[in-house]
Amino acid sequence: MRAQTEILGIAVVILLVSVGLLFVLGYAVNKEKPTHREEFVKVEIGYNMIFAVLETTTPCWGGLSVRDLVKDCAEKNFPEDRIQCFSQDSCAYAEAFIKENIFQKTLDTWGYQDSYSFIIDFPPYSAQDIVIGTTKQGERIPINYQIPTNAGDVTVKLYFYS
Amino acid sequence: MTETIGVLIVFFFILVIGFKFYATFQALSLKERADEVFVQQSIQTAQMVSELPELQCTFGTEEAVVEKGSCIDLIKLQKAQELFMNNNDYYSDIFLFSKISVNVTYPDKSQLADFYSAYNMDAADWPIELYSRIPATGYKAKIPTKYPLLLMDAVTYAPQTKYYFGVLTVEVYQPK
Repeated sequence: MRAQTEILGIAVVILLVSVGLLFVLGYAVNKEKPTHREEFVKVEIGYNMIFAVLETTTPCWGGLSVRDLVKDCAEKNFPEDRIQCFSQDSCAYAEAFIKENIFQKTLDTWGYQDSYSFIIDFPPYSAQDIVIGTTKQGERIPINYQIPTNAGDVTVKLYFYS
Repeated sequence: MTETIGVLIVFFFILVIGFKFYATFQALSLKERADEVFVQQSIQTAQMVSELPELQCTFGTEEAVVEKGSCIDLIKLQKAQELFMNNNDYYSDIFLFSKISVNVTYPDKSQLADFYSAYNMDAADWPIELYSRIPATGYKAKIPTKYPLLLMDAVTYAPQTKYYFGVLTVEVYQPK
């Protein structure tokens, strides 16, 4: 009888310790949550960024948007056929414009330098892809946006690396 | 008898330690939940600002209005400063303790001479502060969030509309 009571006592102690451990484990799992918040903020910034970049008016031809330049770049195979902006074709001008006027003044100064890449992925047999930022392996938050053109869909991608 | 008292002491000791652990973790998780709500507030405020009819870019007629997302009409922005100031009670219920401002990233502020004369503004007016309510008793934390957006200028080169690249900065304060 006495031995049985002692075993019951040990069982109660083990139960209490287990409940305590479960709380500690539960807390550790919940600590992962801030990543989801960060992800949400990055997705919000990402979509706004892509949309705002594409609609921004450039000085080329008195007011073409970046979207117009990207479409022209995708639809014409030879640089000499493309829109010429200050002695650069639409592809080269769009890349320089986005890099110098937008990203260098925003994400690069907001603490995202070396942790994002902005890619304009042209359809096959079209222009060479535009890549701004760093391309890395590993976990990333992808944000994609498609622009329909006569040469096929252009995919604008913004990746945030963790 | 002594043995029973010893077992009871150990039992209650473990119970008290367990309860202390539980209380500590609960307090920590409550604090985290409060922080989460605080971060969400900063995101919601930024989304609300860019979608306010007082600021949003719109096209079309009265019967069929088309709204452009993540876009602020510069003429509305200029008028909104006064509107927000005159209706501070209304907006403070929406934006609580925060500071909201809009800045232009492209073109450079020094290259907007035509815009300044059309809008009767100056380069020194940037960033345009829309709303500011900082807790009088001080604050525990402040979360600044920057959101890229478009700034629509339909006046300077009318009938042509130009879009500038802008940044909406929302700073949310957590009062003490």
